[in-house]
Amino acid sequence: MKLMKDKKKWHSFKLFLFILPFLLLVLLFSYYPLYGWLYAFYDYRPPRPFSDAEFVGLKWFKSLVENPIKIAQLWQVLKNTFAMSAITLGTSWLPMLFAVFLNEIKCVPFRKFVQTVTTLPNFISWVLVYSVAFSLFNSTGMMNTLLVNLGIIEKPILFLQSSEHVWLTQWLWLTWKNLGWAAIMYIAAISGIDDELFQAAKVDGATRMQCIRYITIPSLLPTFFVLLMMNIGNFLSNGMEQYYVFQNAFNKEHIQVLDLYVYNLAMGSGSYSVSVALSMLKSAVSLVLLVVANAVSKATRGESFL
Amino acid sequence: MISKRKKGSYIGELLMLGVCVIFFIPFYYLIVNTFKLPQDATASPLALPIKTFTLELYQKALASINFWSSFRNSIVITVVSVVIIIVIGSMASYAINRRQNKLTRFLFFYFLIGFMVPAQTTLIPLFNLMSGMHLQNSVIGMIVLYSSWCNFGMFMYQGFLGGVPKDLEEAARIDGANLWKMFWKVVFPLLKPVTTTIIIFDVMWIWNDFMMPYLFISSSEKFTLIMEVYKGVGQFANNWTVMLCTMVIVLIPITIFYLFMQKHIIAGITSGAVKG
Repeated sequence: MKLMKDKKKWHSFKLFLFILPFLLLVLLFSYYPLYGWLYAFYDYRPPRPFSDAEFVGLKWFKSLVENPIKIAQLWQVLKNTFAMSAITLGTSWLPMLFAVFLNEIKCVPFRKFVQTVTTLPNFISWVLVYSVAFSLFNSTGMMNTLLVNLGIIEKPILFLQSSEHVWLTQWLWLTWKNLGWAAIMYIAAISGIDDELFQAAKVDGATRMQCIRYITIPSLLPTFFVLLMMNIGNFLSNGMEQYYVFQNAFNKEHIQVLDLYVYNLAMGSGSYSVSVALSMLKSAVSLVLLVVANAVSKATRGESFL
Repeated sequence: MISKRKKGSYIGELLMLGVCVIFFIPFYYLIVNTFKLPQDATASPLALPIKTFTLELYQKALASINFWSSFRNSIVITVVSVVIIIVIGSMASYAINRRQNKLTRFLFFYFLIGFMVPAQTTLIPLFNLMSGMHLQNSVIGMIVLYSSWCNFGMFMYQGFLGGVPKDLEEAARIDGANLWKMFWKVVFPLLKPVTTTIIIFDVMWIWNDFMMPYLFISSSEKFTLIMEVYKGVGQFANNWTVMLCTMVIVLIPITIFYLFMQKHIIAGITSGAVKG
C-alpha cells in the first residue's frame, strides 16, 4: 500500500519535473523583470543606479494628466492609436470578403497561386517590408523614376518622408502584409460549411451571389465576430515594430502610436519612469477592454475567447 | 443565362488577378533588380534583366564579411529556440493537462498572466537580467530568451490535449514504459498537427524578430540577417544595391519554409488552433 502511494507521489513528482523548465523560464523572463514597475514611482534615470533614485510617488502619473506639453503629446498619440485601430476595425471585413472571392475561383491552380502570393508577405519581417517600401518609394526609387519618366511629375515625391496620409499608408502596408494570412481563418471556416447547403440552394435556383449572400457569409459571421472582439481587446495595442521601422523625423507626429510612444519615451528621450507609468495605465485599460470584449462575446454568442 | 454567369465569374477572377499583381510587384521588383547593375536598375526598374543580367551584386553580398555569420546565427537561433519551445512546451502542457488539481490550475494562470505582461515596461530589468547572466550580446542568450516565449505553444497544446484519449497512455504504462518514454513514444506523435502549427508560428516570429536582437545584440559578428538588413537600409546606406540581394537571401529560407508548410497551415487552424 505504502509502496503504491510512494509510486504515485514519484509519478506526480516526475510530472512536475516536466513543467519545471518552462516554469523557471517564465519566472525569470516574465515575472522577475516586473520589478521594473517600481520605476514608475521613482525618479529613475538610467544608467544611474536605481538605489540613487528618489521616491516620487504618483508624480509621473499626475504629470501625464497635468503637464500641458505631455497632454498635447499624449493626445496626438492617442489620436494616432485610435485612428489606426479604427481603420483596422472598420476594414476587418476585408479578409472575409477576400476569402469569399478566393473561394469563388473555380480554377484550382490559379486559386492556389493567388493564395500563396497574398499570404507570403505575412512571412516577411517589418524590417524587410520597410526596405522594400524604401526601394520602391525613395527619391530615386521605382515609383519616382516611373513618374518622372512618364512626365507626370518633375521633381521626385518624398513618399516616405511625408507627414500626410500616414494613417492610410500604414494601413495599406499592414493590409499588404496581413490580408492573405487573415483570410486563412475564413478559408478554413468556408471549407467547413456543409456542401449539401449549396447543393440544395442550387436545386432551388439560387444564383452564385445568392449563395454567398445567404449561405457563405452567414456561416462566417461567428468567426468574424470572435476576431472582431479580439481586435477590440487589442484596441490600444497596434504593435510597434511596423511603426518603429517606418518612423522618421517627418512623419513622427502622425505615426507615433501608444506602443511606439512608450518605447520612444524610454529609449529615445530617457524618460524611463514616465514611460513605465504610461505603459502601466495602458495595460490596465487594455485588460478592461479585453474583459469587456470577452463578456460581450459570451453574452451575445455564448462563446468566450479567453 | 449561362453566358451571363460566366461573364460574372470572369470579372471576379480578373479582380483577384489584379490583387495578385499588386501583392506581387514588390517581390518582382526586388528580385529583378538584384540581377542588374545599379545604373540599369535606375534606368528601367521593372524590365526583365535579359540583356543586363549579372550576378555581380550577389557575389558582393555573399563576400561581405558578416553575411555568412549572420546567416548562421539566424538559422541557429531559430532552429534551436523552436526545438526547445516544442520540447518544454509540450511536456509542460501534458503534465498540466493530465493532472487536474489546484497546483496545475494555478500554473495555468501563472503562464497565462506571464504571457500578458507587456514587454515595454520591463525592458530595462530584462536588459539588466540578460547582462547579469552574461546572456547579452550572445547567440545563446537570444536562444534562452526566445525559449521563454513558449506560452503560445502551451495554450495551443492545452486546447488540443483535451481531445487526446488517455487509453493509449494507460496501456503503455501497464506495459511498463516509464513516463519519459511513454510521453515521447506515445503522446507526442499524437500532437503532430498542433506541433506543426506551433512550428509555423514560432519560426515566423523568431526568424523575423527584430526588436530583441536590436536590443540585445551589439557586436556585428552576432547579428541576425534581419539586423543586417536593418543596418543597411535608409537614406544614408552606402551599399544599397547589395542590400537588395541580402533581402532576397533573407526571403529565400522563409519562403521555402512557407511553401513547404503551406498545406499544414489551414489544417492546423481548423484542428482547433484558434478557438471560435
